[in-house]
Amino acid sequence: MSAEGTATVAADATGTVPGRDAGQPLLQVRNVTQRYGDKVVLRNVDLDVFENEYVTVLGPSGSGKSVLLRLIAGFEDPTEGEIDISGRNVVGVPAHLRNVGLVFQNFALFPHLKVGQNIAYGLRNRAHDRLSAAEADVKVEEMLHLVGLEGLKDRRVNQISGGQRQRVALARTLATDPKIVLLDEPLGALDANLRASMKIELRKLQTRLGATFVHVTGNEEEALAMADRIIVLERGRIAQFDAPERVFARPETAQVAFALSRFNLVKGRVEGGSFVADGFSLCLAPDHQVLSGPATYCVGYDRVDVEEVDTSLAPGDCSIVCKHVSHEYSGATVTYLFELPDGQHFEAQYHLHHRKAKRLEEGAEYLLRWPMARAFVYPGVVE
Amino acid sequence: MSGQRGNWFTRHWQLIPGSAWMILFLIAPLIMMIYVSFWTQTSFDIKPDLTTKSWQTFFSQPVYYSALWNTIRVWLIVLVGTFVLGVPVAIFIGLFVRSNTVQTILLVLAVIPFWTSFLVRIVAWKPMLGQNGALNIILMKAHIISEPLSFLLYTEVGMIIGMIQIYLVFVVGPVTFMLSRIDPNVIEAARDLGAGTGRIFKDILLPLSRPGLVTGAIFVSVLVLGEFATPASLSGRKVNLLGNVIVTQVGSLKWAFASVAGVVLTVVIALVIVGLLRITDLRKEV
Amino acid sequence: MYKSPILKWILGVYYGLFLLFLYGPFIVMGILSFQPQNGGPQFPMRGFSIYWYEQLLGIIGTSRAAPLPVGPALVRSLILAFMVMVTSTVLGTITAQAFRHRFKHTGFMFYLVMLGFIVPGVLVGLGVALVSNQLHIDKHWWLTGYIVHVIYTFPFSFLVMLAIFNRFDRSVEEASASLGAGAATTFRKITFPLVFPGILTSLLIAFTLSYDEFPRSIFAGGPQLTLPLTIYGQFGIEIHPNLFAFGVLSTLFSFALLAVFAILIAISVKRRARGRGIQEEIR
Repeated sequence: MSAEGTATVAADATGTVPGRDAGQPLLQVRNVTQRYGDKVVLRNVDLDVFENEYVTVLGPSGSGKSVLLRLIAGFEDPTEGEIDISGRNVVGVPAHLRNVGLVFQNFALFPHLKVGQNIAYGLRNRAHDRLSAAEADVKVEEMLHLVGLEGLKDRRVNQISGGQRQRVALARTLATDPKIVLLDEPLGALDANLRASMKIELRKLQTRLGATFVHVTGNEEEALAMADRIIVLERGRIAQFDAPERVFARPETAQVAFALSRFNLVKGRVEGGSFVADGFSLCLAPDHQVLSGPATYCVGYDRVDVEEVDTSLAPGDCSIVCKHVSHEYSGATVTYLFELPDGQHFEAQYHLHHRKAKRLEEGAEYLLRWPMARAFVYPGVVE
Repeated sequence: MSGQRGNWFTRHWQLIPGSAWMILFLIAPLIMMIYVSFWTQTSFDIKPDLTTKSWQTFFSQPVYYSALWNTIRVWLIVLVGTFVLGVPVAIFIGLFVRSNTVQTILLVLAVIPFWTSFLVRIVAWKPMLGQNGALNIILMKAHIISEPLSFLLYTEVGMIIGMIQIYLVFVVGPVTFMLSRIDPNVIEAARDLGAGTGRIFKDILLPLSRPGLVTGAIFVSVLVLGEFATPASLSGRKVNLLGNVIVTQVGSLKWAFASVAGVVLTVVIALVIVGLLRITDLRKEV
Repeated sequence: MYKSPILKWILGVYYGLFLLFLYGPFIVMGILSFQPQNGGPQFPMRGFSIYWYEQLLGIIGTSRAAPLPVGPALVRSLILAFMVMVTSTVLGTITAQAFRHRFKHTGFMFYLVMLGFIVPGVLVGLGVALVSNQLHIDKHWWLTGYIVHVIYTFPFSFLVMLAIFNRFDRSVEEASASLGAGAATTFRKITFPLVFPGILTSLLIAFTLSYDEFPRSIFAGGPQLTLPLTIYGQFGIEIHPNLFAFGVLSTLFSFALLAVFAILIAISVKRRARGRGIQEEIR
């Protein structure tokens, strides 16, 4: 369960989205499929990333997100399809000639080099446009200043903290002015406090440099908070690729809703225009009533209101009466857990900025209600 | 994640130099040896006319086929000897010594002779074992014997003593290494669960040290089966192993006959190694 | 089991006897090497002198024993060992690199390399000698001798490098590539320095094995003998304490080599430790 809510997310992500009309995309992945033997890791992936864009790729482990990065970086070539950078197909071009930077999850700093030498490495050793020691030194100082590591130039990389290593990894990549900066779960190795501050800093850095970032993560909060656009990967396919607030407002598939970890997903079936499960039914907006058969009902945690059982409903509201199990405080939110008549879980999340917390009695029955327009039904059942 | 770039050659060219060296300079010569073992041997020359005559000679004359039995007998004695003498040392260092530093020092002391010249190690046994050798002097001074023992040098006994001492390190090293990696808590836990010493040995120590035992056995087997220098020196040429047959035959330019002995030795080694690898596939241990 | 103090005591005593068994011959050899001129290759000691060392090193011209012909053989052995250690380490490194990619028949390749030490030296030598006879290629220590030595040391270099690469974090190489460095630069600047301790170990092992090798050289080494072959030649004739003096010096040489290796490793470890010291000061 995430501590932050949609309000924060929405506030962060309301910036303008460099849209599809911003001219030629910097990066185009066209119909890419990647197989290892019989295993299909990526399936017909298509995506465009524009200059100055911050794109996050969200998916669980095994969704193929790291492979996608490796294909763009040039460590592997796709089984099928094409990858264009600045309109040029780069399949077959080795990684060191692509001018694509990659920040590794484990940072992959060179342990035998000092901080300054790590940052200067690309400038001094790349195949083209090598800088002299003096030129590189100027750039290193500039980068150290940019990431706030002044004075650490002569430290060994095993003498600095995790957060500092992260900055060195970033500075090392940014020093070479890559066309695209790929970040492979860059915050994964940091502790929670550091992650929160790095999140803001990464985004600031990207805006300041006007660079193009593609950031892979398994953390939905990170993905929603940082991105101009967000790619949700599901078992090697792109399930949705859109601005975060749009993805959040209207997940395209049940898998996307699941990946965002902010939705109740109720298993059941659609029959005669309503959603039924074992022992209860939920109301549906008219445009969802055309479905039939096994289905997943989806409503955001923070769309749900908890009321006394005898509360009367407004028109356009859906509701169900069920048992309160427990609650969880976590800073700015409180989450109430309920049990549906057939044993499935259901949650209601209150952001304390917006709604007052309620005092509920465990084991008692309450009426949960939400706007019909905020509920979606997807065919099939998410496991 | 393995690199998926390029064709087979660009991805796997690194296999070529090593395999080329081994195939050209090791496999091909061994095949040549099999081929030559069927050539016709005259006193001064060999001709590539195929015959089984050398093979018939080898298996009909006791002086040659006994070398085969000698080789197998000496191999078994030395193998058992090195294990009987070496495994207690490994158990002491690996299981009884708790301090890592002491463990390392004791192990280094035990394997450092490996670092010295093989031939020097053989030579060093001569003044130990002879009629007037150090061993006899010590035993007589201690009044354990009254006459010097004469069966120590230039006998099979002397040769086996020398071999065991020389090859002991190959058992002590790997077995100690494997034993020292066993977490003492595992043994502790087994004891708490009521396992006796025999059971701990059979269910924990043996399986966990098996790769070490097999590695040691392979080292000792390979080295002993190919021996010819130690018998030549310490047995006073009384014990003839297959290696000695090969050396003597090559010395008198009987290449076809040397090749027969070589093929026989290859078959023996192959059987031993395949047998040992059935116990543990060492590829998986690296 | 390991708690029993009596058993521990017994095993401790046994370990002492074991060391005596291991080192006894060396000690006796060391003592006898100091026999005076009239002393033989066994007890009793007829005095104490460095006569046989001087005789071995050619400081004393005349002697009742023929001088050991070690001089030129030593030079050959050192040159050969140097050639072998470099070749073996290069081959071992390249082959171990290949094992970092998945490929079919890894087991076959692994044991193909292992054959280099599994096949007894006398057979390797015999086979190579047969082939060179057949092809009318002359046998030399620097040609056929070199070839069979590398067959012997290659598996050890390979195993050392395989172990090193198994613990090697591949992402630093990818990081180097993503920063624009080509494959050769990446190897020179990143991979090589990081696997250097392994390379040093491989060099040391290959050098020592080659320097001491003789079963393979006996048939494939050609007419000019290497050092071990010269010593082996003494096995058939009456021995004198000069052979013991040689044994002592050769053992000291082996240990000196080991010491140099230990110092080199210690220097690289110390360098990192020094770095850590600075950090402590700053704090």
